[in-house]
Amino acid sequence: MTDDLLIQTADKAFAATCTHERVQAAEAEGWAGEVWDAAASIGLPWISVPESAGGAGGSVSDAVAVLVVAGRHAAPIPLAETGLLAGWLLATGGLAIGEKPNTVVPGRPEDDLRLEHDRLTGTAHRVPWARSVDRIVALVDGQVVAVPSGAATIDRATNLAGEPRDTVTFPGVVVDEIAPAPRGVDADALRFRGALSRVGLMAGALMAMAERTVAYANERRQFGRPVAGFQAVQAHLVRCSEEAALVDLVARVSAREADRGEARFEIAAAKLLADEAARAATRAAHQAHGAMGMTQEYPLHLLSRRLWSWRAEYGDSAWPRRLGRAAVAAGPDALYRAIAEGSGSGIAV
Amino acid sequence: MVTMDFRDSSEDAAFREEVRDWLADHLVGEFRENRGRGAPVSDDAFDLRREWERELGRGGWLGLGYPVAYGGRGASVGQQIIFTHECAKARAPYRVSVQGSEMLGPCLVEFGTEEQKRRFLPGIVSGDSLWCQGFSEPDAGSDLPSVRTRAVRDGDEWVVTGQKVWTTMGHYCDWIYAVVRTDPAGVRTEGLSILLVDMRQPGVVTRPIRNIANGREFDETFFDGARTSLDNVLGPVDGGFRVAMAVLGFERGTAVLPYQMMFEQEMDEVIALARRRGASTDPVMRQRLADAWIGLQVLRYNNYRKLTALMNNGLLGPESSFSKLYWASWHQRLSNLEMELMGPASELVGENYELNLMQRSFLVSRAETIYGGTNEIHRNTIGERVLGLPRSPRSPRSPR
Repeated sequence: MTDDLLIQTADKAFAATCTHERVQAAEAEGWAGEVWDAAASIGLPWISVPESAGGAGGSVSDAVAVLVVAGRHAAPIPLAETGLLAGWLLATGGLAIGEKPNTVVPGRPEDDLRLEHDRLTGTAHRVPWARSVDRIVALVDGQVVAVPSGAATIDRATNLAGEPRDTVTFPGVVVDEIAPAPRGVDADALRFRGALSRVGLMAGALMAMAERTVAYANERRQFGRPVAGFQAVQAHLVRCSEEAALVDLVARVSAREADRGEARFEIAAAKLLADEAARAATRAAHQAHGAMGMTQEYPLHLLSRRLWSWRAEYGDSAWPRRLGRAAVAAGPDALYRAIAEGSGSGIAV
Repeated sequence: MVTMDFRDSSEDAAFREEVRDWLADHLVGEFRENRGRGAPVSDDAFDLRREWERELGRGGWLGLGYPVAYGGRGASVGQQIIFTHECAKARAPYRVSVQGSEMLGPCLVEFGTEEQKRRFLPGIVSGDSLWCQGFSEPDAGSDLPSVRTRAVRDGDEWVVTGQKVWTTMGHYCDWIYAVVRTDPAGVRTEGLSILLVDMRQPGVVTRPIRNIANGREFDETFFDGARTSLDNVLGPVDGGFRVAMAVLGFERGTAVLPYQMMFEQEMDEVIALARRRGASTDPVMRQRLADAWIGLQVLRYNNYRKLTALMNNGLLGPESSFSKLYWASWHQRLSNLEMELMGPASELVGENYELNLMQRSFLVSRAETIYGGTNEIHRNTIGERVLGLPRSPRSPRSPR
């Protein structure tokens, strides 16, 4: 169970710094220094990276719990990237964690990174905050590599939520920080860990969105009463809240299982659920908000655009396929065991 | 039971030929280079589309259905459909606004005085005046009768005070038709009037609203000592609610035709996209594409049925709610499908939040089930007025 104090501290830090104006400004400016500094000063980005490796210690559950808080506040910083993802790769390779923001190459089908005698060449896509971080960490040809962002050519792009997702080209850069990736630390493992990070962020955003929608529907009056008084609107409020509760649950369960050992079944299921929840809940939230939710001045879009973006990161249509294939391969008799025991049942996702 | 006949009569065939010939001669130069630009609620390529509106006016194509005496051609609804269809086929730039020609104009013909028709219809027919609609207010969205913008007589003028919101293309428009309260003692639908007000006066100020796709097609409109002549009331003073309902009826009639054409083109593009992305061999995607295509056919035939009823009866009843409810929900689902089909390209945005068409469509489609009557309101209308279900409890007489 994650320490309440940690959650409260994180919540305070983000609540103070992630104002509507600052989150919106980060879209234009690309970097939210005050948000990063507030999070870094209390060690949030390095939770789950072992202290022995230079991290803040704590479990994957702790890291995901903090990501839930970050998602609530739409924190526009590479929180998951620095610790849970890049930090994990660096630690497994025995490389320095550092104290600055880092990012990880998520690994897209269109990437073509390769190592030739310790020189890194090729292009990586959708690298979060590549333009602003200290080092870009990647898994290439079975090696963990870390390259200063200044050594790469960066083409700026963002996702639908205005979060930097840059295209990074390495022109035969000499890699000083390089180590073999241990067994189990591979592209697929990164995919699952990345998916888990998004589930955490989405859980937080869904909860904040549900709370805001309920509040709005109780304030907004039409036909002589709050719009929350209409059953049709109530259905939307319930939908939002249900989806938020579900994703919060699966975020915690899959993080817990990740701490215990194998969690691929749980994470795949969680991401699939989070993706569908995002679709249904954003629809309901926007509909319940009416026209107000379509404006930039009202903060709903800070959450809904993130949900649409995070839905597409680390997976999208891959998860239903993988889960379906695994269930079919395991056979009908294995199905209930898989549902009841998860990865512990041996189902191979 | 209404029979729909899709064959052109010889008169309609000649009309269609005439439209095609005119388009061939006039959809040239810059207009031709910008084919397909714009959308029903978009200020993309505004200047060009504004000029196209004037070009259409010069060709005598605006206000087709109006009596000849007022600059129209007395064209049938069928011919108006033909005109819209041929423009869509030729990919003429989307009409910058149909508020004047398809909504206010028909209401002027129906409810206006001779004087008003002579004063306002020529500008609509020539494309020189752009009109916007002033209905919604910050506290009056679905509940239109609760508007608080008021007008009081001062000599031979009305003085208007209040605020409208979601004024489509407000800052581009020359005139506004607004629902205002002219009888302070009137309750809800009683005591409302439709005032025609010149937007270009010091007492009218617009402020654009930025939407989540970074567009600025809607404004807040502030009336502070705005003035309009006493005779600029459309329909009876204090009896404007009925006229407002008629406008909304027109909004769901021929004004909706461009949407259908746009959707048909969009569907073609979606199928082409699916083929390019290799998704047309994916069994799950094929199901969804087929569903989308079926939905479009339903939409199309429902529209024809509705317009045939309009042709025969001259009026659209509450069944027009089917149309809006249906297309808004259908298009939202389609935009979800488009985003998935596009894959990675749908998720990345260029510098300065430069969205591509499908991304913009996805974001603004959230609004389609809200504007023009929310899905919830339309279901209410269908439930109460078409199915005869028990009415939901009305709010008590509320203070203004």
